[in-house]
Amino acid sequence: MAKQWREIYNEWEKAVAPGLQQFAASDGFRDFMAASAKVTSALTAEFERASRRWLHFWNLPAATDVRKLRQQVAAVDRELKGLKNLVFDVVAVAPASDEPATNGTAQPARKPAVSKPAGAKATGSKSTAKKAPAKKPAAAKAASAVEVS
Amino acid sequence: MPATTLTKPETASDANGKSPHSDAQVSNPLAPYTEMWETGVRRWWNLTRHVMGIDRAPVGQTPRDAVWSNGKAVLYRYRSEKPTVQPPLLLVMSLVSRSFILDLQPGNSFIERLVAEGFDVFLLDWGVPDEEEANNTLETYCDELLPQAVAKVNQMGGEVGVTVFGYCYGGLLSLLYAAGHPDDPIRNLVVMATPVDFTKMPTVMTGVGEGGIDPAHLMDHTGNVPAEAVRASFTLLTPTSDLSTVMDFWEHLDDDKFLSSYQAMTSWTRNHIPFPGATMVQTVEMFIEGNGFVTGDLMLGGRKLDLADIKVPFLNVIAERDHIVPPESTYGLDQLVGSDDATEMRLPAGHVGLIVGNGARKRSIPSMIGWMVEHSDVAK
Repeated sequence: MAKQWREIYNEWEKAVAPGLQQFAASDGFRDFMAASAKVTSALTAEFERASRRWLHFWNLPAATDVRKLRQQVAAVDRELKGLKNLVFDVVAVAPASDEPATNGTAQPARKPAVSKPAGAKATGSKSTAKKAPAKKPAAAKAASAVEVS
Repeated sequence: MPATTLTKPETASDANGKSPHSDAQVSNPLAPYTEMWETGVRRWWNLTRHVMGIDRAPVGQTPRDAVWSNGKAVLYRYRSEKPTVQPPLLLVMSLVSRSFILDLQPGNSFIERLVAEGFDVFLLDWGVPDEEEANNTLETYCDELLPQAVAKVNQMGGEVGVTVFGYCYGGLLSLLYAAGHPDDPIRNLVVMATPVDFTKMPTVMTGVGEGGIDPAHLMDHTGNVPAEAVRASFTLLTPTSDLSTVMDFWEHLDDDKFLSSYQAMTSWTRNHIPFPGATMVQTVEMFIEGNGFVTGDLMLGGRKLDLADIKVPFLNVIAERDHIVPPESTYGLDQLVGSDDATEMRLPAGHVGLIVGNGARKRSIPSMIGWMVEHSDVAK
């Protein structure tokens, strides 16, 4: 008895599921979803506009203002990180250029994070460590700059 | 206890024609009813604690430490007595789901197994995006965060390179990163259940873009595609799956072990994360509309990428019963990369079954570990 309901469900699912999947994958359903998303989006935007006007009328901030602020803070944060990386790059290169290199060329100030790993196997041998070393010190520097532990 | 044993104890008999309960019934004729009562009580207790959220199955239990972060992206290192396999392994998670699927429960955890096998395991968790991440692009992930995380892992692992392992969309990010940074210390690249040919992806997953849903209409007030929309797209792939899950739950409600697994899995399948808006727009343009991996039309940060620039040992893990990333959408990736040592591994599993469950424990995980060990240095 206990299993009977499950068998009935399984039979029902076997009969219904393929049709539902086909419907969900159909062009008609996609068009419906596209139209539905468009209407929802338009209605939400309209509601936001109206509520913002109302709140601004009473000199109150709306959610959209807070959102804009958060996005601006995020943009500033990103820019700051970019500048930090740039500073690390400059600091990394500056002392090295003062030191005379044995072969007459400036050496990278830091061991690059791009060298061929020791003990790497011969397979895929066309791979790493073939180009000039200190290509991406910025990434490595930034990594240590934001260390957590 | 299986329901059949409880409901029909009198019909169950052994080879000698004796009921297995006959001895018990002689001594205690109420035994079947006592058992039925106990099962009933257990079912109600399990239902109560599930509904009330009491004693929920814990997930992501393998001990770990956060070793680096940038914004909401956090790099974790899993504690290990003494890793015997080098290079370290960096797991790159998808952008749409929680990373604890890789460390679901003790005894049913991909990461726990990797650590036990001697790997030095790192996990790059992207976090849950909000307004701050709405403008994150593929460049943010592949040109900024991934190179930084790989550099950190390489440094912590003793500068012997890194095995990068991308799961699902994380595999797509790993491919873009590896193609765009061929000089980075990537020792091996593994991608698992990663979409490549988007023309072979389910229509539900590719219904965004030209002639379909405008990506801008999908985004919420944060500028991201909300988690509910992400979940809905997965649900539409198998519309009856949610109901079937409830049926399974009801059927096995008296089974504590099942309830624990059920809670762990549903806390993952019903708990997606928003998809960053700008990345969504790029994904639609580059992959859903442009099918970039196949056509070779890949642009990142203003430069053209070529998968042929991936020269490191490469493994593409394909789940043959995957309904989210069908196998046909990921076949042939080993031919697109430029590695001389590229392998395609087809496993009889689903999208999640590759890393969770009995099949994963017995077949999928050992196969993947085997390949990685073969391409690593193992201390004796």
